[in-house]
This record gives sequence, structure tokens and C-alpha cells, in this order.
Amino acid sequence: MKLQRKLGLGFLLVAVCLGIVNAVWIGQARLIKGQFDQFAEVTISRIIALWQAESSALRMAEAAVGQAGEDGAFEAARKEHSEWVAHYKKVAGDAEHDKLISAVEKTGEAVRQRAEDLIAKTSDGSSQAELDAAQNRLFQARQRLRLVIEKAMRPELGLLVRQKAALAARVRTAEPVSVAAAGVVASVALLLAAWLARSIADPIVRLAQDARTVGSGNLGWRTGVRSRDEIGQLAEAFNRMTENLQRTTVSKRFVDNVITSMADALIVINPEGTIRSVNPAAITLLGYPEAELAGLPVDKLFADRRGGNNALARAGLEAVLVGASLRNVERQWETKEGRAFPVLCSASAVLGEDGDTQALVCVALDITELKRAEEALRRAYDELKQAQDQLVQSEKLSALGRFAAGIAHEVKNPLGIVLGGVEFLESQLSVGSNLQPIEETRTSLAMIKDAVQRADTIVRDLLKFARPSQLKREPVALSGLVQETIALLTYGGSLKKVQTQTQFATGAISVEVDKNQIQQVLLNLMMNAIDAMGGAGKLFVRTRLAQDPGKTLAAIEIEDTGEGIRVENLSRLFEPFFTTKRDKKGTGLGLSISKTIVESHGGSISVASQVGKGTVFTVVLPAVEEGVRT
Amino acid sequence: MIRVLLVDDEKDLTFFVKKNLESKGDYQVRVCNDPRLVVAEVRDFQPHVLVLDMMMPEVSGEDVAADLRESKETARLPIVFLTALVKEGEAGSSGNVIGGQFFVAKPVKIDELIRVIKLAMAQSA
Repeated sequence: MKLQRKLGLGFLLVAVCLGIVNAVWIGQARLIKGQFDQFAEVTISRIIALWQAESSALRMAEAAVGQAGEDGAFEAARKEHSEWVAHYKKVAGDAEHDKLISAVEKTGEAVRQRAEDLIAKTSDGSSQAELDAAQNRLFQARQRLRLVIEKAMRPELGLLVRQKAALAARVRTAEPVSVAAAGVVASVALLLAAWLARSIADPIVRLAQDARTVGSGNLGWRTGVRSRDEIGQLAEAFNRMTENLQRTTVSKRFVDNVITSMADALIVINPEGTIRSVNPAAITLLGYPEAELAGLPVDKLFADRRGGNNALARAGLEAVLVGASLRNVERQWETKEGRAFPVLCSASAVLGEDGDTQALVCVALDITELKRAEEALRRAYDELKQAQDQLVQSEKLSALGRFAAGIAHEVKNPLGIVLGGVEFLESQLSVGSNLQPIEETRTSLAMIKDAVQRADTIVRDLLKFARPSQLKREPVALSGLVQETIALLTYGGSLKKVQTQTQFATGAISVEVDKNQIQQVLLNLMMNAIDAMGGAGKLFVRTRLAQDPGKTLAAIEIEDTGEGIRVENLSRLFEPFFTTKRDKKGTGLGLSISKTIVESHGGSISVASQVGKGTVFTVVLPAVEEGVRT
Repeated sequence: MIRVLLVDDEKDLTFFVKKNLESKGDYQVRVCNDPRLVVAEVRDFQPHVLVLDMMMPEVSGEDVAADLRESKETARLPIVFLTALVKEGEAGSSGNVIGGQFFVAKPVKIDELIRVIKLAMAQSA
């Protein structure tokens, strides 16, 4: 049943009860009133009327006797008497009292008449005896009236007593009746209250209790209240709400757990730049107790803070406030003790529903280990680079060694001339020999000098080549470079059986290179060419300009008429330690290092070959524009 | 009179070696600076001994020696090789013989050359 109706019914019932009580009380009052009316209106009225009638009759008589001339008093009394008799007639008007009424009327009338008579006689000047006789007659009339009135009065007095008793009795019974009625009503009201309580208040109280239980944290609690009215609906809604709350709290707790168990530090920053909240990872990372972090200006966490007029600006986060986000920026954080460590920082703004920035959230990844690994990697790379440089150098020296034999020979030739010349001069100067003409001696000395200079040149050029590369890049004339390399080979005697043909591009080409390194490359390629030909054949060296959109390139081609390289070996040619040479001369790194050198200059190296016909290697290097100086 | 055919592409060297040899002993030295002409010169000059440089352009000392071996008349000609590849001490310690061949290390000391020429000639006799 609907609550409204229940309550309505309840109040209706209460109203009815009250009505009943009132009715009872009113009934009682009515009865009392009725009796009282009887009592007052009738009985007492009668008595008063009778008494007043008599009293007024008496005054009539008195007036007639005493003051004959004061008709005023007589008139007033007469009027009064008349009124009172009329009144008595009125209040006693029923069959019972008719006789009495007429008696009172009659006797009263008599009194009046005799009084009037007396008055008349008095004023007429009648004799005393007549006056006395009239007076007697008046007194007699008055006496008769008195008697009649007494007679009329008697029943009234009896009635009065009886009625008074009845009234008293009535009043006496009214009390318990009312109390009883009140009692009944009170009981009904109590029952009603109990019923209402059970029906309405109980469930509400229970719901309130249930709400307190849920409010204290027990989100799994459901109310057991059931009823078919609005309270029942309330209970249902309560249960649904609690379930939603539970679900939301579970997911909120889950999210909290996520944030709490995150391995990375997470800090939430107020728009004013103070820290709002942090997760456990942040606390651990920064070494502050949680309480100290709350409210701390965020720039205190950044070891690489800069100048600025507010905490966010000093922390470098002011752009985030207006919507920019930081992604994986390398920053330096600072622990409480002041130890700086590197972090990868991402920050973004937390926007409210109306688009304003409520907070900033910053996630930081400790990359100390990563940076260490990076550093170790860098060191390893440097070491590797050094090793590579050393390898390049040793390859160069090894190449050098390979034609050291030839070089030794070449140096020894001039030395041989020197020795021969000196021995010749010795023999000329020894005792007992025929002195040769001065001319011949001079010639001999000149030849010796030449030889020495020749030896010196060879050694000098060799030293230039053997010296470790300074890694200085400078513009070098290409044709000169090629010719010097060929000269070196000639010294080494490698080209004794090789027909060398050079073809240089028209116009000077310069390349910005480390001369030593590129010479090493050219030497390597030329020596490979000579080896491929078995030391005898044709060697072509050409230089030309190569075109590439936007770039000027120089190309050097080294071609031989050797045995060629098989197709399956072509792709592996530049691999370290890959060699097709049958004898294990050299380190096997020549081509690989040559490729490295060329590519580090921004160039490229390629090969084309035909088995049985020959091979051509092409080295392309960035050329320097004519007239352009960097 | 010992006839010596001296073969080396280095002209200044052959100039002095010839001069020194001839002044030190009873030698008649003919110089040949082009290894391709050696075989013809041998036939023409009929030397007792051939002094032959190893490293020459176009044709090496070995090739010349091989050519000579092919022909019966020149096969038995004693040859002393000149080489820069071997240190003087090394050549000396092995008795100036390597692989059955006589060597003199460059730069050539004239006394050394004469000694080995004698050795080579003695062997082939």
C-alpha cells in the first residue's frame, strides 16, 4: 500500500478516534447542559420569577400603604410584578403548572387591585377606617399571594434539589466516561503508532542502519528491507546504489593499485607548482618521506632546474600547464640528499570537464642503468674504433711489408751503385794503379751522388706513406695522388712487368680526403690488380668526374687484365678475411678496410669483373668544387 | 781471360761493376741492360759465367735462367744471381747457395762477387 494512503489512513483513524472522544465529551456536556438548562433556565427561573413576583407584589403593597402619592414606586412595582408573573407563566408553561400559574395570576391581580384601591382611597381622602379596611384586604391579598407562591415554590424547590443531585450525578459520571473514552482512544492511537512504526519507521531505521554500515566501508552489504511501498523502492534503490558504489570503488581501488604498484615514479602537481601527490615508486626514488613531498615546490626535485619566477617555470614544466606535453625528455632529478640521477620524463596536463588545467601529471623513469649501459657502449665503441684504426694501420704496414722486398731491392740498387762507385774510386786511389782522367772521376762521383739521392727519395716517400694517418682531411689533387701511388709501386718494383696506363680527366679534380688513407686504398687496389695478373699484364688507372644530382663526385677506376673474379665471390669481396688469393699473403683485410676508409669519406667502392678478362674497381669520392674553399 | 756477361737493368750499377771487375782481375766484362737480349748475347759472347740480376722489368732473372736451360749449349753455363732480397750475411752463411743456385747479395761487394764467380765456375767445371 502506498505510504500516502497508509499515513492518510492512520491520521484518519486518529481523527476518527478524536472525533469519537469529542463526541463522547460533547455528548456528556450536552447532557449536562440539558440538565443545567433544566436546572437554570427552568427551575431556577421559576423560582426567581415566583420570588420576584412576590417581592414585587410586596412592594406594590408597601407602595400602596406607605407612599400613597408615590405612584412611581407603585407603578414600577406593578410593572415588575406583571413582568415577573408573565415570566413565570413563560417558564412554567405546561399543563402541570397551569393551575399554579392561574393562582399566582389571580392572587397577584388581587394584590394589585386592592393596592390600587387603597391608593385610590388614600388619594380620595377616605376615612381611616376605610383605609385600614382596604389595607387589611390588601394584606390579606398579599398573604394569599404569599401562600400561593409558597405553594408554587415548594415543588420547584424539591425539583431544584433533585435536579442539583442529578446534575451532580451526571457530572460525576461524565468524568470516568471521558477518561474511558480517552483511554480507548489512547490505546487505539498506540496501536496505530505501533503499526505505523512497524510499517514505516522500522524500515527507515533499518535503512539508516544499513546506510551507516555501507558508509563505514562494507560495500558488500545489502539492505534486507522489503515492502511494496515507496520504502521498498527506496530499499531497492539503496541496494542498486551500493552495488554501483562497490563496482566503482573496486575499479577505483584497482586504479589506485595500478598507480601504487607502478614501477615508475608518478607525481601529480598543482597548477601553482606544488606537489599534490606521489606514488610509492616516487617516494622510493626520491628518498623523501611522503609527508614532506606534499606541498613541496616541484622544482626542488629537478637537479637541472633553471631560473624562473615560479616553481613550474624553474622545473621546465610551464609549457605543460598550457597544454603542451613532454614525452620522454631526459632530465636530472635530485634525491633528498642532493644526489642527482638521470630520468626519462613525460608530463601532461590533467584537464577538467570545462577544459581548464586541474593538475599536471609527471611520470619519470630512472635511466641511471640505461645511461651506464650507454656509457659502456660508447666506451666499447671508442675502443672498437681505436682497434679499427690500429687494424687499418697494421694493414697498411702489412701492405708495406708486402712490397718491402721490392723496396729493399730498389733501395739497394742505388746503394749498389754507391758501393760500386766507391770501390772504383778506392781502386783508383790505391798505390800502383793508373789514375783515370779527372773527368771519369767526376762522373763517378756524380753517379754516386745521384744514387744516394735516389735512395733518399724512395725512403722519404715510403716514410710518408708508413706514417700513421693524421686523419686530416684536405683538398688533394686526384691525379697527383694517383701518380704518387704508382711511383710507390714502381719503387717497390711491383710494376716491373706491368704496363701502366693512366688517363686523367680534363681539368683538375680535387678531393677532400685524408691523403694517407686514400693512398692506402689506391695502393691496395693496385696491388690486388697486379696480384690478379700474376705480376704481369696491363694496369689502367683512370680518373673522371661522376655526376649525381646536386653533388660533384670524382671516380677513380683501377682496371686490370687479370683472371677476374667469379660472380659468387663478387658480393663477398669486401668481407673481412675473405680472399681469393691462393697464397696467404696479406691480412685478408685490405678490401674491407679500403671500403671502410672510402665510405667514411662519404664515398663508395664498387667492382665489376669478367672471369678470364679482368676486373675494374671504381672508387667514388666527393669532389671539391673548383674554386670552392671550405 | 774470363769472360763475364753482366746482366742488370741498372746502367750505373753495371758501369761500376764492370770497371771494378776488370780492374781487380783478368776479366772481360760485357754489359747487357736488356734481359730480353741475354740469350742472344750468350750465344754471341760465349761467356764463362753469367752474372744475372733477379728482379728486372718485363723478364726476371729466373725467366732468363729458364730460357738458357732449355737450350743444350747454354744449359750448363754457370750463373751467379744478384739479389736484393737476401742479406749479405745470410747469403754468406749458406755458402752463397740457395736452392742449388749461387747468389750474391746487393749492394754488390766486388770481392764477394769475384769469390762466388770462382765458386760457380769451379762447380760447373
